[in-house]
Amino acid sequence: MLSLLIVPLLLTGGFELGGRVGVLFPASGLETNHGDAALFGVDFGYRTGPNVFTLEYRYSGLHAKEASPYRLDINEPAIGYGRDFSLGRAGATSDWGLEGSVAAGFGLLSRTLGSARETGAAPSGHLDVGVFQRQGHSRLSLTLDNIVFSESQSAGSSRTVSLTYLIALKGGVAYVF
Amino acid sequence: MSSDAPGRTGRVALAAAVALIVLAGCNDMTLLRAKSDYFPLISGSRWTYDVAGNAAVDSVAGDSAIDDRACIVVLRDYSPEYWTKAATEARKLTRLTVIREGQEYTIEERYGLVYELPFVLGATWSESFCDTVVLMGTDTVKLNDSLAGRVAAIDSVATPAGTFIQCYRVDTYRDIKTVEPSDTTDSLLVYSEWLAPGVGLVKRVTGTETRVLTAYEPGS
Repeated sequence: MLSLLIVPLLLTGGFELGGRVGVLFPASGLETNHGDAALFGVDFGYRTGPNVFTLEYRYSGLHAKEASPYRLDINEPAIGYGRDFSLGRAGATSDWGLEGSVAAGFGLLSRTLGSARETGAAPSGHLDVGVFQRQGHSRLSLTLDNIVFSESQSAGSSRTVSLTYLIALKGGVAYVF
Repeated sequence: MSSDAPGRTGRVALAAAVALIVLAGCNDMTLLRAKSDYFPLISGSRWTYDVAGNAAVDSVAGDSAIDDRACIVVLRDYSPEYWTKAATEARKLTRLTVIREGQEYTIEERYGLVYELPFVLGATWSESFCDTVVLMGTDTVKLNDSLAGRVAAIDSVATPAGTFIQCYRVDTYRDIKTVEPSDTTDSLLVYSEWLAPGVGLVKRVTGTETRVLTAYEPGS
């Protein structure tokens, strides 16, 4: 059954490779002592019509707001699904519109203060919405990524769940093969 | 068939993504620690401890100023302490005195480093204060007050007030040495503290004495 789904996809689709840069804004308490940070990412996607399946990798390093050797690094591989909603077309290979995507990631986290370092990991969910413009093989996008990291630990008979929300404004460029 | 396949695959991918988030139940809580205040000095906060069967109460009384420096007044067992707190450190007013011929002389008065913030496992800090004070025109007192701190562990701590997860254990060594022509004193104070996210001190062990939290009322 799965092969019946995959074969038509491979026959009708194509690959794309892209990169993203942006700004990561901490929220839900992190903003108290963490400043905004640059965000970098690379995407590898398989596109079929308006649908795209992606493998992504993102990195961001949040620094302390005050002068301090403290830093919080987030490395995050993710898999995602996105869809384009074309609003305008100019010729056979040029169009623009809205895009939306969801992704599941796995944040590899590191906090450092001088030589002291502690590491961890947390699963994450992404909801990314924005606009795109495609012309020939090139595709540009500007999106707002809503990121939620989920952490939990049992404490006695109860379980503590901690959700951490971050927002990223990202610009992307991709080459569609 | 082919037109519906992307939609179905998308739903499969979405379900796989949600499953990944749910199943990957990592308990590192790194982000919880990153966003938590481990030393909240909010006016009105009140901590009640059990110390060898006796109740001890700490509370944050409010803001003040000592030596033209803004500080926060903490009543520890109803005795005032003066703290300053920034994103990178917490300091407490240290005042050491000696008595000569019935008169009290101050040999140290400064805001000494207590914690370097934010806490990160393995972090260390230290500060040393040296001074020579002349008393009554002839008596010379050499003072060396040094403090070293270390974030030694991340623990869960069970107390009568509840179980606190993701507590940092901070080990502190403080050495106060005074040298006078007639006498030398050297006092070493070693203690471990467990600080919980959003609560502060939940346990403190000094030698054979243990102070453990029995109640906490957050301020506003």
